[in-house]
Amino acid sequence: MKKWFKEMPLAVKLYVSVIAILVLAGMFAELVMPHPPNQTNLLHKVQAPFQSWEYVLGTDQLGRDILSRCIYGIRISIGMALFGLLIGGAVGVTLGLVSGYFGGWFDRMIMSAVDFQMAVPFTLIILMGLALLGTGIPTLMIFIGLANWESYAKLTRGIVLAVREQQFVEAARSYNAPNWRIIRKHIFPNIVPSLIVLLTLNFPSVLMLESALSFLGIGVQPPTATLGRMVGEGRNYLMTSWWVAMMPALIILMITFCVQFIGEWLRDRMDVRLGQ
Amino acid sequence: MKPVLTIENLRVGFRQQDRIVYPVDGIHLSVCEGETLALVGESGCGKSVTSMSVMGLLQSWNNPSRAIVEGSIVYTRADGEKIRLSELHDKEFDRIRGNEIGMVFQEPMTSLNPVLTIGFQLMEVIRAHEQVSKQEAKSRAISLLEQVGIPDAANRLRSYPHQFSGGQRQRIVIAMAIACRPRLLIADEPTTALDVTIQAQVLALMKRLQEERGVAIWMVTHNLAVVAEFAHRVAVMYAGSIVEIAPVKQLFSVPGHPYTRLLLRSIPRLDSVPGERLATIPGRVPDPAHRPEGCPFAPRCPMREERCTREKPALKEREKGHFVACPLT
Amino acid sequence: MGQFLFKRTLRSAITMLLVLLFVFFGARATGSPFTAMFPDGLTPEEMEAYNRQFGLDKPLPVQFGLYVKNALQGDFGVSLDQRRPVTEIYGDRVGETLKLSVWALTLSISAGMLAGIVMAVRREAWYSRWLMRLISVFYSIPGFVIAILLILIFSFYLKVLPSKGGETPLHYIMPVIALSLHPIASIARYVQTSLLETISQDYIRTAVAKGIGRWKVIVRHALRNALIPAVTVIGMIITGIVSGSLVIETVFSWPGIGTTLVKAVLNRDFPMIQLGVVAFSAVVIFMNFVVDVIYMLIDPRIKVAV
Repeated sequence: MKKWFKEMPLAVKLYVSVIAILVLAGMFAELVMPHPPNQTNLLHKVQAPFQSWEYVLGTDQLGRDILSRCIYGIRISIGMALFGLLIGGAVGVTLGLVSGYFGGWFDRMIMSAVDFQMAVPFTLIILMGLALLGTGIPTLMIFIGLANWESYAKLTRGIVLAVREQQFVEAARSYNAPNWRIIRKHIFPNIVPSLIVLLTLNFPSVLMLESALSFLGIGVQPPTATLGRMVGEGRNYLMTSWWVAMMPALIILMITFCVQFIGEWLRDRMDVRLGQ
Repeated sequence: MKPVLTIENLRVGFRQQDRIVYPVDGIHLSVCEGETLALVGESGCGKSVTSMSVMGLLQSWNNPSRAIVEGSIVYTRADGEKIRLSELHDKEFDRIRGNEIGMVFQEPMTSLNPVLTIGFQLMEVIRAHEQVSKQEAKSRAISLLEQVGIPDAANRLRSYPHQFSGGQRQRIVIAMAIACRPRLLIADEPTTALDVTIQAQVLALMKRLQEERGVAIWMVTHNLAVVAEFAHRVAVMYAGSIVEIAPVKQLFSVPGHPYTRLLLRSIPRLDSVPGERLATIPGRVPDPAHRPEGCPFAPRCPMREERCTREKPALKEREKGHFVACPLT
Repeated sequence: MGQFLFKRTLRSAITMLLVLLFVFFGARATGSPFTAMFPDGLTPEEMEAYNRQFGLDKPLPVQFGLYVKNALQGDFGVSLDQRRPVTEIYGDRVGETLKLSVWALTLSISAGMLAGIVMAVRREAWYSRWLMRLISVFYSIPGFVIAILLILIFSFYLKVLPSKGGETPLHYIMPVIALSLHPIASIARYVQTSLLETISQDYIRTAVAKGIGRWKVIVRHALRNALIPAVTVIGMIITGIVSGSLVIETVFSWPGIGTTLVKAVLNRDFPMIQLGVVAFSAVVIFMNFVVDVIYMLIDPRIKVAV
């Protein structure tokens, strides 16, 4: 891990540091926030940013501190995106494993599901799902995590198919090693690096999805503030108090930006290693 | 013998991490009007790099990393005008390519664009260099196809490359290369990827074209049989340098350089004793990045002396037209 | 060729059917829509009355059959919220969404291709590297963020562009740009990679050796071959633009089906949601079908074999 850090080019180090700071701020939100995120203070409402140390990023219509809300929003947004990603990854990888390893009927079913997925925009499916199942946080998390499930499934299936052909799996089968053991020892190590790259690259789109949904009002409900929701609420006051919407928007931007570049760097490094 | 192409002290380098590597390191060569010069050498000696750099193909925009070319390459036109190819910009080169100098490559299966008709690809080169109408370009294309032996030429203009065999595709490539009547045709291993019988046909075609049009041919190959059959003069290349140049008969009868001698000895002969071991040259061709000081062949040369590892021998003329780069033989 | 067309149409039709199935059963799978509409609860009699009124008391396959039959005749039910036929509410809003999507697609393809070509052919140039950075930025900005940024700058500060509605050509500028940035980046990257791979092919070397000139080689030989495998990418681009228009339309109050669909979701208006999803899917399926057919026509390897 430390060796990795040293090998990074300066830019990537910067991105990782930014993400680390944001994540830590989100995790320890209670310690870092200057004010409770939902505390209203009508005396100080609609204050511009950078005017005072008390409300560094300004306040919104209800006098709530933008900085604190943003920090808390980071926790929710990133937290949701991460959990969702893990769920989606787990589902995708499992389906890919089943599809690749057992083949036959499973494979065809899952592959048709993948084709269907590519024909229909996932956003639509989410809209329907949320309309039906409500917008509770767990439901939301699962749905947004499932975005891109097909990328994990395809990746896993591809690797499984490739590995299956190889000699040592044949050998393991021959001495009756149980299936799951083969999967664990032989297949997993091959999947992990590519999977990590894929997860990293998909993180921005998961985050953007959640933000977009919250922005529209379909995602997380008030008073819980995700960054997307804050942008959505602030939209109506854009002319008078642009910071209410722009601050969280900029933070979303920072996150997607940094993670995207980190992911691309990871992918380039992996390609190099595979090429060797 | 009037030279069409004169190369002096050509070096071609590629950037590799923090330094430059020179697969081609000091080539002297010339091709004269109407003759066939064969450039022979093992794989990896740099002969393809040499031929492609002369056409500017390693320095052109389609290379992810452009080669560095040093030295003098002079092409002489029919009216005597000399053009320094080594100093041309990519755009200026386009007037020469396909027009004064044509080139044929090694892989006929992938040398043609699979989604364009061969008629289009043929007419394209004609119309790029000569002011002719579409109709005239078309009839010239048909005539070219007939000359290279593609039957039913008029109809086949509308066919795609994948509808032809390997040998036919190579003929089409040759047709494209000579379409504008170049003075020089560079052929980089034109028959290596073809079956032996087809090889003979393609070579015969090239010979006939030379006789009919008087085009000089610079053929790069590793096949000595082809050289013996086909070339007027031969240049032997080893590890980035030319070690011997001679008229073909002399090269085979009185080879001057130790490498040439060993090369000729390693060819199986009809009159050899059955069961006799094939002669090989011990050692391997050096990596361009790690060439030894002095004569490049010294590490493998049976005749090497101490001075061979110190100074690199230059090509010296022994007899008329026979050059050898070795002080010992 | 006929066989190809037939198979392809069949595939689209099957996908469409699957969408309908999904939409239909999905809606009914989670209980009655009326519980959401009437959170205070309904008496069993009221429930039954509503069910009968909307035909929800019949067995499911029958309901589905009825649904499809009605759908084929253009009747998609009535909005639970507005009590008007669903098709009427969506009406010509589909046209507006289509217009926005098509403009965005056109801009994405042209700008993306141009950027991709420059990045591939002039890699070392300084403007090429800045372009690559710009493309990376485009790739990671969420659509709504760029939308509100644009509104902030051009509507509020500079006051040159309108921020709501879709009547005049000026109204198109910001939404189309906001929709296109991410697709431009995707296309540019794809073209760059594909082109770089193509120009290292042997036949490009032959084309250069013929002396026909750099741009002719790029356009006639390299581009054509580089773009042929683009079918898969175009499909995803279309999907992306259509999904993106949901958000962008809402931000710009665009008179399209995106705004309506979002409102329907917020109101749990099921017939509306169903048609919205079906309509969007139909747009995507249709556009993909057209793209496939175009490819069939221009790739000679398929043409000749077929």
